[in-house]
Amino acid sequence: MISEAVLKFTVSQFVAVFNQSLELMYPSVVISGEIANFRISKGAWVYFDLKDESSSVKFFGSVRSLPGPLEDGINVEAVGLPRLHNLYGFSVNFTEIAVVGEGSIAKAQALLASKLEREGLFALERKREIPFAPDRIGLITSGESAAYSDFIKIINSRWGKIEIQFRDCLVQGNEAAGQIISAIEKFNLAPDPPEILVLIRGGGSADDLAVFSLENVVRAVSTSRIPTLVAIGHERDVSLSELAADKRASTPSNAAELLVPDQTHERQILAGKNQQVDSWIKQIFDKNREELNEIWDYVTNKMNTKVEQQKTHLQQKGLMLEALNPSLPFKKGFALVRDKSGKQIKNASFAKKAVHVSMEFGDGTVNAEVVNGS
Amino acid sequence: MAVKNYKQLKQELDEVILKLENEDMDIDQATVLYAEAKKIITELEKQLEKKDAVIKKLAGK
Repeated sequence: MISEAVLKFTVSQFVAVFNQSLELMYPSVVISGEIANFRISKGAWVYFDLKDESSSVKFFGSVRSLPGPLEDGINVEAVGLPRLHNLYGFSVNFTEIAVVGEGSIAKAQALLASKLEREGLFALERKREIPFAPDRIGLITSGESAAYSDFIKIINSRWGKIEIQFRDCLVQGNEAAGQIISAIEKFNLAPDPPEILVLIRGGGSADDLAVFSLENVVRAVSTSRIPTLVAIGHERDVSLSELAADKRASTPSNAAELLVPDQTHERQILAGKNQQVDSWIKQIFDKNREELNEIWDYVTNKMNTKVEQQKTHLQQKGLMLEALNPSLPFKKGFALVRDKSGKQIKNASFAKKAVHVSMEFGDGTVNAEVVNGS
Repeated sequence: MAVKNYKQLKQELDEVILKLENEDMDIDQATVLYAEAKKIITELEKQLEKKDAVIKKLAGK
């Protein structure tokens, strides 16, 4: 006979009372353990067990509550509501899961990386150029962090003041993801958005940096209309947000160096371009001068040839002229004979008739009388 | 006309230099481009001077 002191319920009553008790005593629990028997049903519902060395608890929830792809062997902390289902028994309805432990974080990150890579989020063709020396930067990080102060310091020391629109947010912990995503969205919706978004965080443990490999944060970076530059942790830390960004920097300081040139270095480049410009104009002028000199030489040669030809021609004319010189007979000893009226006498018979004649020689004229004409 | 920033002026300078490197360019065009390049370089130098002053002021803070 069962004692009357013991409470008696029907099955349904027991389930109801048990769940009421659970709701009062454990409205929400966080349980950590290793995932086992992980499966997704109809693309919407997630079932798995969390186990440790000696126990196992069933979990159930929505795929939307997952931080990313999960599989057996990954260690997580799951937040949920314990419930006794009237048909399917006891389980914890999870509302939130966080991957914990370096090994598990790495494993989960690898799973998510494969998934996002298949979707093309990390494809090189998607990467946009980051602007050179932007006038306006949108900065997302913790205002109290060394990453923030290092970034600002390097920007100012390399390039002077740039307009930096800053959105302060947590960069680790449960609330960080929501704040980072919100900051990215707000910058994208701003009426006068910055030319580039810079998301930075200094070094930390795998747990500290895990938020930058959460699926929702990575997707927010990849879908930003404003180009993104992401630098998380140190050189060896590569978060999925950095892979999805348009440009990855190894550290927050490196992000500043990638964004703005060093003005001393720019001076050197400018001096080089100045020399280059001077050199090119000199080449063009020298080339033109050389061409002019060639033309001048050609013209001069032609002119000289012409002049020589003309000289020769003139000399020939001179010789011809000399041959026609009327004084030439005088030089040969001939004289010009005229009568008294000055008319030239060309033969002896006229000379006899003239009687008195004048005889012009090369050096003067004499008068003569024709005495014996024969 | 809006004042051009360092980035815009630098792009312009690179375009002018590219044109100057065209070996078929005649001397008249080259002279004009040379003057343009020199003007841009002077403006870039002025902007760098200003930045240098700002940097020194910030460093002194």
